Parts: sequence; C-alpha cells; structure tokens
Amino acid sequence: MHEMALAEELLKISDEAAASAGAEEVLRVGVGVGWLLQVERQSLAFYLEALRRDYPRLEHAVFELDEEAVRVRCRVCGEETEQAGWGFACGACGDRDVEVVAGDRLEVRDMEVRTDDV
Amino acid sequence: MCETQGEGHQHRHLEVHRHAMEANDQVAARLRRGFAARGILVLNLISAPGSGKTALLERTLEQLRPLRVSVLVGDVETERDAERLRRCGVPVAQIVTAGTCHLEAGMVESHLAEVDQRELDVLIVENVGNLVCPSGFDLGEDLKVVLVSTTEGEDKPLKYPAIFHRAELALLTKADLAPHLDFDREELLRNIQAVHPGMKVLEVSAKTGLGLDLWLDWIRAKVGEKQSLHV
Ligand SMILES: Nc1nc2c(ncn2[C@@H]2O[C@H](COP(=O)(O)OP(=O)(O)OP(=O)(O)O)[C@@H](O)[C@H]2O)c(=O)[nH]1
Ligand SMILES: [Mg+2]
Ligand SMILES: [Zn+2]
Ligand SMILES: [Zn+2]
Ligand SMILES: [Zn+2]
Repeated sequence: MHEMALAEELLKISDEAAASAGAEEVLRVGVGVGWLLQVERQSLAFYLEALRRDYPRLEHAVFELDEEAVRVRCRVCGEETEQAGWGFACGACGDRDVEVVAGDRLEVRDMEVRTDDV
Repeated sequence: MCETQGEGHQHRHLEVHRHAMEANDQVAARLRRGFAARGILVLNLISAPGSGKTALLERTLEQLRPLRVSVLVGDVETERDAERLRRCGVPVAQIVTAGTCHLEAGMVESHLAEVDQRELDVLIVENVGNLVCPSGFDLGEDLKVVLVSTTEGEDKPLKYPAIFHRAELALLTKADLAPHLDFDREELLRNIQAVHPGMKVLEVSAKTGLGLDLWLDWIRAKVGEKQSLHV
C-alpha cells in the first residue's frame, strides 16, 4: 500500500478532529490497521513521524498502530467469524459466501487531547 | 500523562472513527451512483507494469461493437497508451498521474467528461501498472480485473493477495509464451484459488488471439447484467 498517502490522511483526520473539539494538543491517537490492507506498519510509523511537523497540534502525539484482524459475516448462516489468512470462509459453517465486515480499513479510532480551560 | 492536569487545562477522550480512504470513497460512491443511474458497466483493470493491459484492449475494443465503449488510461508519465488505444476508434483519455502510482476516484471524475458519450455501455479503466496500491482505491467501478502474465512467476497471487482477493476475474496473459518458459500453470491456478477460492480465470494471448472471445463474452454478459438492473 501507499503508506505515505495513508499517513497524510491519518494526520489530516486527527488534526481536523482535534480542531473541531477545540483541542490545543493531541496526546494519543488510536489507529486501527486492517489486516486486509497489507499496510507496512513500520513504514506507516515512519511517514507519520516525518509528516507531522506540518501539524503543530500533533507534534507530541503518540500514534498507537493496532492491527485489526479480518472478520467476515456469512451470507448462509449469518455468523461473524475472525479469519486467520487469505481464502476467506465462514468459521462456523465453512461456506465461502462471506462479506468482510472488519479489518479492511485504516481508521483513526479515538484520541486523547488536551483542551485549555475557559 | 501530563502532570498539570486540572490546572488550567483538561484531558478529553474523543471517539473519531474516520478512515483514511474516506475522501476517495466519497467520490467513488458519487461516481458509482452516476454510472448506476445510466446503466454503465465500469471495469478497473489492474496488473504489474507490462502485463499486457493495453495490448489486450488494443486487440479487443473494436470487437465489442455495437457496445459503446470508452477508456480511461492511467500512467505515471506519457500519453503513449492513449495514443495506442485511440487507433481502435473509441474515445480514450489519458490520465497522467505525475508520480502517483495508482489512480484515485478524483482523477476519474475529473477526466470523465473527456470520454463520456451521451450513450455509453462500458467504461474501461486501465490503472497504473502496479499490483499494490491500485487495489485499495475504489474508482466507482463495478468490477476489478487483475492481469498476470506467464512471465511474472507463479507466486504473484501469494505475494500480492489483496488484488487477487478483490478482483472478480483474473486474466492469465501472454499465454502464447508459456511453452517457451518454465511456467507452471497448475501452480499459478492453485495459488489464485488459495487467495480467492472460486475465482474465475481466463487464459488469453493478445498476440495469437487465444481466449479473447471468452474475455469478450464475459464483458458482454456483465453489460447485460448491469443493464438489466437499470430500468
Ligand atoms: N508475446 C506476447 N507479448 C505480449 C502480449 N501482450 C502484451 N505483450 C507485450 O508485453 C509488453 C507490454 O504490453 P502492454 O500492453 O504495454 O502492457 P501494459 O500492462 O499496458 O503496461 P503498462 O501500461 O506500462 O503497465 C509489450 O511489449 C507487448 O507487446 C501477449 O499476449 N503475448
Ligand atoms: Mg498500458
Ligand atoms: Zn456460515
Ligand atoms: Zn495535561
Ligand atoms: Zn500508489
């Protein structure tokens, strides 16, 4: 994947969320890294570090990059199961008619921010 | 944690839940709605550089008549592929990405007017030659098609699983070269099925014409399905 472009998007989203909450500074950003995207986490961390100088609020933020496993929902039996590798199939009934419901996104989940008292 | 919490400022927890592709995905969704409203089938062709995307289109565009076809072709530099494809007599626009190694929905949106015909049945997008990033960028297409040539090695599906997972059809290109190579067809097919069980695979050669009729039939069938949804 395109780690540099993805890092830029994560920074933009984090900065926007902080600004709209009236935050002075971001302390921590929780990021979910979907397994399906095959994002190189080291490379993503490198670009987050390199590009964040353009976002003063994010200067000291800790980015927690948390891998998120793929989960699928079965169109046959309706169960939701976690997947261990490629070739997705329902973990309950084995059918291959499944829909990915998690693990296919790179997401800013939550943040800790500092706001000045008014 | 900051020592001075409570003295002039406070900490807050924010739930955000926004994802990195959302800007692209919004444009893609807008494109998809527009294509659906007009019953246009959109295919996104993805492969490594040089697997034969342009050669395949050169050999097949004319034969899609009377379907009305337009092509958007992405390359990092040059108009060469568009010039090759214009000889087929269909509207073609070149998207020069100037360094970006994939197409984004915004690029499709901004070049669409150049190839949009009043009546259009199929829009084919030839993505930038790259097996990695294009798979993550939704262009508003109906289906992705991945091309892998006989000269690339049987392990490609295992090394680049995301695109094989996401594509509907795999085209095994340059089939004419297979006898001259240590190409293990069965192993490639096994690797494709390991990543995407049940994936449809067609073997083609833009040089000899082998398998091209099946590729054309596949497109015509998908056009039929799309247009039957459009009432
Ligand atoms: N023998 C043989 N050669 C082919 C075939 N298809 C393409 N080629 C050759 O492979 C080379 C690359 O083909 P292109 O069609 O330009 O490949 P492409 O995927 O469009 O390349 P990019 O747009 O640069 O990613 C050319 O030299 C073609 O002549 C085929 O079926 N058989
Ligand atoms: Mg080409
Ligand atoms: Zn099931
Ligand atoms: Zn504090
Ligand atoms: Zn890219």
